[in-house]
Amino acid sequence: MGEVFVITSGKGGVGKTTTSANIGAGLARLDKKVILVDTDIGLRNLDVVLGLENRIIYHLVDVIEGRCRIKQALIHDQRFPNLYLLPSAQTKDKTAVTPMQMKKLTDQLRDDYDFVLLDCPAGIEQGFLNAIAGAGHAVIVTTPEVSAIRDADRVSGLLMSNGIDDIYMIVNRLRYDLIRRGDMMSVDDVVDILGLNLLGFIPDDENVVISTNHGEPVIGTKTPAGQAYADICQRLIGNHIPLNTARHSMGLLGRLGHMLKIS
Amino acid sequence: MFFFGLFRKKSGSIAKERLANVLVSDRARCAPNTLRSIQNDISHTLSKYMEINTKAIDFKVVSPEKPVPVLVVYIPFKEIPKTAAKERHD
Repeated sequence: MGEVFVITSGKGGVGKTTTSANIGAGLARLDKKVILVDTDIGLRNLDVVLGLENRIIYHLVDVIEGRCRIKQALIHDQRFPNLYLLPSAQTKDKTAVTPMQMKKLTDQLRDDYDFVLLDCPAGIEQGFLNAIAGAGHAVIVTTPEVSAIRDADRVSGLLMSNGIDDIYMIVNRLRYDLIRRGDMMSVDDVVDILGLNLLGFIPDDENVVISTNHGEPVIGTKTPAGQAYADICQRLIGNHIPLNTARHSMGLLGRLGHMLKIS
Repeated sequence: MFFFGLFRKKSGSIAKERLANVLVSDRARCAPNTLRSIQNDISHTLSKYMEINTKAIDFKVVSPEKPVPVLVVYIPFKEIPKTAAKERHD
C-alpha cells in the first residue's frame, strides 16, 4: 500500500511543480516506485518541467472519464525507471472532475506504487479540493515572504479541516545573503510563525532555472538545490538527515543588534 | 552612519511581526479592528474587578491537534510598583 502525498501551497509560483518533479525523481532514484500526477487541469506543467511534453497521448481527464486505461496515459522515461507521470489536460472544456473521482483514482494508484505524488494547482478552489481528496499527507511549499506564508497558513487550516493532519513544510527560495542582513525571514522564523513540521529547505539556486530550461530535474546533481531535494527524499523514506538551519540565520552584527533588543 | 544602520529595525523582523498579527486575525476569522475592539472591551470590563496590565493584553490563535482553532487571550496582572510594596510592609 503506497502513501499519497499532495504538494500544495496556496500561493502560486513558490515551487510546487519543481518540488513535485524533484521529489518524484529523487524517490525513484532511491528505488521507490513513484507516480507523479499533475492535477492542474488547464495549466499543465509537470510534463514540461520534466522534459516530457512531447510524450503525452492521454491525460488525467481521459482516465477519469474512462476514455483510456491508466496505463495508457502514463509516461515512463528511461532516465528514471521507477518514475511514472500522469499528465494533466491542457484545456478545461466542460469537464468537471470531482473530489470523489480523484479519490477513486488515488485509491487505485496506491495499490501499485510506493508513492503517489499529487502536484496541486495554486489557490483553494475546486482544483485544490480535487487534489487533496485522496491524500493522506500534505507537503506545503512556501517561500520566506509575507504573502506566501500567509497563504500557507490558510492552506494548513483547510487541510486540517478536510481531515489531513499529517502536514509537512518546505521553505523554498532562501537567499542567505538577505537572511544574514536581516532582510529576509530565516527558516527558523518561518517555522516559528507557521508551526508546521519542517521537511526541508531549499536555497534560491539558478541551477533550477537552467535545469528546467533543459527539462531536467535538479536532483542528482551536486548543486545546492539538488542536494537539498536529495535530503528531503531521504527524510521521506525515513532516514533522519539533520535540519541544519543555524548556519543560515542573521549574521553576527545583526544578532548583536537583536541581542541589544533594538532590532 | 553605519552605526544607525546597525540599530534600525530590520525588514525581516518587521515582516515577522506583521505576519504574527495578520495571522491572528486570519485564524480567528475576525478583522483586526474587531480584535482591537474585543481587547478594549476586555480591558474595560476586567479593570472593574482587578488590576490588569491593559497595555500587555495579547491574543493568540492556537490549533492544537484538533481542526478547530482556539482563541487564547493573555491578560497579565498589573505589576505592583516596588515603592508601593515597600509602603505596605511598613
